[in-house]
Amino acid sequence: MKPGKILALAVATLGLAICLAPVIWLFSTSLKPFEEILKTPTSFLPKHPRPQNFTDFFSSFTFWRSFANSCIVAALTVVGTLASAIPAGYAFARLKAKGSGLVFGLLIASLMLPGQVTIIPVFRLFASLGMIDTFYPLVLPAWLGTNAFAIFLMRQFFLGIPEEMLEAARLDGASEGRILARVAVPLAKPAIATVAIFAFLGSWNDLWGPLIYLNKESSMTLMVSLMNFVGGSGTAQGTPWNLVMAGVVVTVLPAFILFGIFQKTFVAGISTTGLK
Amino acid sequence: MQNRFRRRAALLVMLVAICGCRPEPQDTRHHVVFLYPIEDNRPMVEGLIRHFEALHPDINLEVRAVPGNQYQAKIKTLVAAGEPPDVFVCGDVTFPYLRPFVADLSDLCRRDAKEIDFADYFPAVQRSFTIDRHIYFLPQAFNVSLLYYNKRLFRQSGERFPSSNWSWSDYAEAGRRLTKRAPGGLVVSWGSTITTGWWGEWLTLVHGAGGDFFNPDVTACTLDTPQALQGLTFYRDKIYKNGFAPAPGEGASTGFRSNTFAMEFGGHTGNWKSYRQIPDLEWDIEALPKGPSGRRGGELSLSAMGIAKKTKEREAAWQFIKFMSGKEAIEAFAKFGYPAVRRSIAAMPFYALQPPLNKRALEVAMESAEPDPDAPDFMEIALDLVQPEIDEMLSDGMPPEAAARRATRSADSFLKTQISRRVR
Amino acid sequence: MKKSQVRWCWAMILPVVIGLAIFTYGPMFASLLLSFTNDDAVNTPSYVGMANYKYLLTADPSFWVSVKVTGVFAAASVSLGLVASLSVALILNQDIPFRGIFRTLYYFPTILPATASGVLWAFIFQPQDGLLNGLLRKVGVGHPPAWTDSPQWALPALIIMSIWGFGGAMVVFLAGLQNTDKSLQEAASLDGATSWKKFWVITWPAITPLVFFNLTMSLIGSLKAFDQAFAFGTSGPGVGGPARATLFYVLNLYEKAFGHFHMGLAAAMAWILFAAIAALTGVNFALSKRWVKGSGI
Repeated sequence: MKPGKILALAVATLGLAICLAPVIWLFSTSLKPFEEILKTPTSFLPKHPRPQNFTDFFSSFTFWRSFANSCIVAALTVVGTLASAIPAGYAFARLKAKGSGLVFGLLIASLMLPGQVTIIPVFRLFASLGMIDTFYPLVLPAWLGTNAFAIFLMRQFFLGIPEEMLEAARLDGASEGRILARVAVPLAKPAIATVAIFAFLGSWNDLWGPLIYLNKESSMTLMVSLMNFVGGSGTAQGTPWNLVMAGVVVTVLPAFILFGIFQKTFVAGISTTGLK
Repeated sequence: MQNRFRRRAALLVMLVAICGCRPEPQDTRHHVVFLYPIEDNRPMVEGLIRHFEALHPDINLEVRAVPGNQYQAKIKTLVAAGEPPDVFVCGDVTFPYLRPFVADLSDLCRRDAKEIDFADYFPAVQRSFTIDRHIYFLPQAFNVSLLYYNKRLFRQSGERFPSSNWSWSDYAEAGRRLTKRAPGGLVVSWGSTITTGWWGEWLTLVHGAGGDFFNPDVTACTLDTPQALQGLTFYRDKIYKNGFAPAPGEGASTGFRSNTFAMEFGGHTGNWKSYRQIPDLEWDIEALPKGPSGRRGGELSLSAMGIAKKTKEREAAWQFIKFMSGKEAIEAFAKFGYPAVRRSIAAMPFYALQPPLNKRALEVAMESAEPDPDAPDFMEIALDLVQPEIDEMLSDGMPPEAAARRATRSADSFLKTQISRRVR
Repeated sequence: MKKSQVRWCWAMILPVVIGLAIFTYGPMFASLLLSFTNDDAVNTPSYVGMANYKYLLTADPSFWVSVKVTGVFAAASVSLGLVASLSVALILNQDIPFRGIFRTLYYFPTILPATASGVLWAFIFQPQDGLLNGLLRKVGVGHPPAWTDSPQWALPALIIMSIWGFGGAMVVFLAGLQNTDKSLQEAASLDGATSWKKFWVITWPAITPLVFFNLTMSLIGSLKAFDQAFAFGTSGPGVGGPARATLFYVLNLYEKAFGHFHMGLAAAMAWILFAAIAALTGVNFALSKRWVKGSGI
């Protein structure tokens, strides 16, 4: 190898080590007993690994309930996102109607909007409907096409379908709905998978919404529960960082697993979004 | 394909609807909603609740558990959304803010005075729950500022234990002598902790020097008086002039529990249980030292329960909070590790044997404690407007005079705006 | 034929129309009205004109501090992030072995939930028990910075944390670099051009659209960032940090809205933010014509 390449390889490896050190430390801390954290903060390998950290974390609050809540909210969000983004993406891409362009423009403009601008009136809306402390505020918006990014992605994809395929179906007498279901969607599986993954992660990782709308312990999602655990456990014992890190590992797990399986999709999706 | 899709969609809609539904009470019992903060005393409190339900089968108590550190935010959110719970925890620094929503219990207290036995409460506790001659809540436990000390570190140093006659200079000198350094200069054990991040310690020191946060009718902030300044300067000097307390970010992160602090200034009675669980920590309490003005300056705050003004189940909720402040409940709280609010419980044999042993210091502290300022915006002003200046001062970024001046100016300007709740 | 297309079109975008009305533009308008009242979620609100805006811009000590904190954070993390991602992309572009693995692993930190990484980094920066100070003490630094407890070092800590996510931009750059015409590079080499000159004349113009894209995305992202900063603050000395050192604009807003229920005031803050983002995006797009070569927007 050329010396330039060797240097590049060395720098890349060093950079990677620095970049991944926090992740390795996350895993090692999650297995350390509390005393080890205080005495040897920098060791990357626990001297007396303590897998009970995980069971301690599970039993320190209604963990399984929070986990289930996160799953339910994420699943409902994904379904809703797909249910609204697929038809909308198709319509914006292939169907012409007066005014649909304006709607699309407004949709894209909303990407710029910070959630904080709308939160108070929306909070009051849900409060007046008695929906505070339920999952409605977290799930309903997904069903009503608020994920502009998802619609944008689907539209980009549907723009790429050859018009002849659609024309052939139309000549056969199929309605647009049928065309969408029978022709467009089967072709769109990779795009749908990408949207589904990002929608799932977006919901699973969300803190802002659950923080504001959920009060009862039994309604909490995992991210909020983790924050409550970190913030609340400090008063009595001093923050139990080993349990906290175990908790972080657990919350990171779905992203980890999805990433492991779908790496190529992730990286490909991000690259092409930038290129377009 | 369309039909199948529609059917699946309908199924999903039903699923969402079910998820959001709340169960309807089918019975004719009195339904009382209790918003409960989750702390480490949970099993004990839940045991009490179960016993209450057994005693009162006609009352159905719905307990909504909220993480303790989120409690203040959540009760405010529910009040703002117009859905306050029937029973909730109040009686501490949040009370002035929540006062418009809390029911006046005075007439119920008069009616049931014999059962409650008001004389059984410590006088300082009674004074704390009587506001303008009205009663709004009944207490389970309390916190009072104390001086905690590590007996072993004192003995090793040949220091005499603190007494209730201590002044600030006694405290500072002992602190200096108890601060031990390793050969390289790094501190191995500290004379005293210093509490940062909120007003707990610095306001106590302001009081001790004779100052106050507000003037009596809460129209101006008075942190720029010479007395207040003396308190703030003593606070800062603990780190930078007398060197017996750690700067922010230094010193063991577990504080007094780490066995490396000879004293803890202020502390919290909620920590008693965890201190008892540390095997080689020998500790006891004393009243805080007296400041130059003669005041000790510490606060007394109650952990108590009140009833929402809008409740539809006043009588049932009242039965519940009477029970939770009754002799059986207070005994459970005291056995768990909290200081007893009732004298009859404090007189029981187990109480004297439970650390901290110096119960007389507890009574001295209670008698000399001061209430929090009665202003609905106190927390916001103290934390958002004043605390940042104090933080800057403690990182040696600003002298106390400048911090006091800036804090007072911000607080005054806030009190005058339409945002201040005092104005409305 | 045409008519049925129109009907289908509207049927398919109907949920979006409803959603935009209920959750986006309706509330936007409502919150604008709210910003002219003294609504505090408790008493009946009354109209106060520009009083909220006036308080924020002239009397509130936290407003301009949070603008400064957000601005410094955005400038530092966006610029350092771009440098890091471009540099690593250039290095990986050198045809080194295992490039695919490197790319995947560098990308990995970006998929972690913002909350989780906020908590993790709060712990890394913990002054007494954290990884960073542990390492610093090991190499002999006696009094390492107090990071999360220090008004001077808390924001740099957050900036470092945000740079950790440079993998996303890096992947975009790498894809772009690999698309540039290799033959041009070879011809330039034969002509005797140095690497530096090759970069500026050939590579840079080709990737300016990507730089623009990454710049825009990360700028808007850093101005809106909440989850990570909130998690970082809650795990450390408190949201906003010591002496307001990490009081991001949106954290300030959250506190005013859901901490103290100054609804009118918070709505005013939200609108100021929106105006700022719109202005910045406009300026960004306008300037882009100057330095972004190739495909216009």
